[in-house]
Amino acid sequence: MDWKKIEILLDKYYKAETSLEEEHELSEAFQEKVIPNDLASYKMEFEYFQKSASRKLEGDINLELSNSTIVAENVYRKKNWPWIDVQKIAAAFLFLLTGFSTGILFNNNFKGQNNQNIQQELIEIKSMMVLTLLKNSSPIDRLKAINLSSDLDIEEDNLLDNILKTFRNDPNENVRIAALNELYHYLGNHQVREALGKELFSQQSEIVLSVLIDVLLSIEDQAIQSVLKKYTDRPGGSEFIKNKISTQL
Amino acid sequence: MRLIILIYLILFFSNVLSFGQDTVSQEFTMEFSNPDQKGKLVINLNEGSIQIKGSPSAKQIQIKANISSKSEKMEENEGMKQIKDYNIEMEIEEKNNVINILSHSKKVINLEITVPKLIDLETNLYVKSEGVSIENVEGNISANVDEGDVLLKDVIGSASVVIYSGSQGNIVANFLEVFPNTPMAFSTRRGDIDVTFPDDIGFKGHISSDKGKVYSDFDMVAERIQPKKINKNKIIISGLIRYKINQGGAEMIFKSIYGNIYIRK
Repeated sequence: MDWKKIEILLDKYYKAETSLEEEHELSEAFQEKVIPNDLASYKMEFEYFQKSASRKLEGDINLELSNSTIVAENVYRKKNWPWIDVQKIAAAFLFLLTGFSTGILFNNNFKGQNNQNIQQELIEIKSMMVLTLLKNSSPIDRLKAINLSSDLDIEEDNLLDNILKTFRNDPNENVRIAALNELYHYLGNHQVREALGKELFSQQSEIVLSVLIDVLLSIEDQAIQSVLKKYTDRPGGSEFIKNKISTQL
Repeated sequence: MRLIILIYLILFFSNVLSFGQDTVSQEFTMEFSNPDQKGKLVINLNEGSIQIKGSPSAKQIQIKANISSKSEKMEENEGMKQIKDYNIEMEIEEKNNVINILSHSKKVINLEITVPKLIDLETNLYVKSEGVSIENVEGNISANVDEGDVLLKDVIGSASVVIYSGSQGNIVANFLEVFPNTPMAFSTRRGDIDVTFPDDIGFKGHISSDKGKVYSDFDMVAERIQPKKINKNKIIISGLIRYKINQGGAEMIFKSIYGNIYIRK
């Protein structure tokens, strides 16, 4: 077999320039038992071509199949045809995947948006609950309010002033301590540090003051340290608290 | 529906009173407007003591008020002895399933009260007291006293207890069960805090005594609390310590200055 001629015919075939005779020659060639390795990939195409031709000859193929064969012929007249189906399948798969992905992304975005809305609503509900509970007469309810506020960002959710007011004014020491523990998380806020520094001179309860000292001493801040020093230097005030500051400052 | 019952109790040589040596007493009953739902009892007294016992069968509260006259030097006039004044005014009001007992009297009033087991309690003793004792109730309990002990025995629920002033006042509480994820707080200046919880309770405890010690048979994990937000210009050099028990839960406060703290299983 002249395989160089076959290669030339193959080039013509994929340029759709072959005659029927040349195509028949190609078909015959790929029925050979021994085919050069570099041409082996074309064998399947021409075997299929041969089979289709055989079926035509046998007369057991209907018009529809004939048409499909014609279509197949046209399509196969492109190089690397075995990959064409794969490419089509891949394209279809990609198309489907893109569709699904878009759908999922859209859905997720929608869900994400929905989740964000729900979360925002939850935050608002929690904030409202905090404000409501803080107004209750029961200390347990006010402790619950502080506990609930620990799930929130009280700076962003406009609760900071309320927690500060609670620390300043709540009649119950336990509630004031709980508020102070919550305010500890916001020591980075200048307003909080300033307010806590002032409260050193306003709070009367040694229990609350003791916790306040622990909180104030936990930050390295010159302004706070000068406030603490001022407390120890002033007449009056709790000796216990003064000693606590002096030993820890 | 709003139901208001107002009772004024004025005791002065009344023949319904039983006279002890220095004490007179009277009993009365008050009903909740909606006894099928959990009610609340709020007590505000200046001086005295409060003992509350829960009863599963009780639908109303039964109050026994013992009024003591303060020890004072009794004067004589023209051969006649001064008569002790037991006169008090105590207001008891029921509104929206909340019963309020209020007295501004400077007499020593010792209340013995039986309540339904399921009830919220808020007891405040503002001046001097012999303390508060609460037993066998289920609800949210708040006890605030200027001095004296607070005892919570076999209770279910949550509690906030404050003993304000400088004299000795211990807090002793044992919880049969606690409400999940409900904060509690116990603080006393000079007294001990001794609280017993169910084994499986979980909470995050702010536990400290400046001069006393802390003891517990729970396994506690100490964690340094980091502030949620830190200003870049400020450096947190240390942090408050919080103890996590059984994976944590609601925040609880145990604070004493001079007393020891015992947290028991």
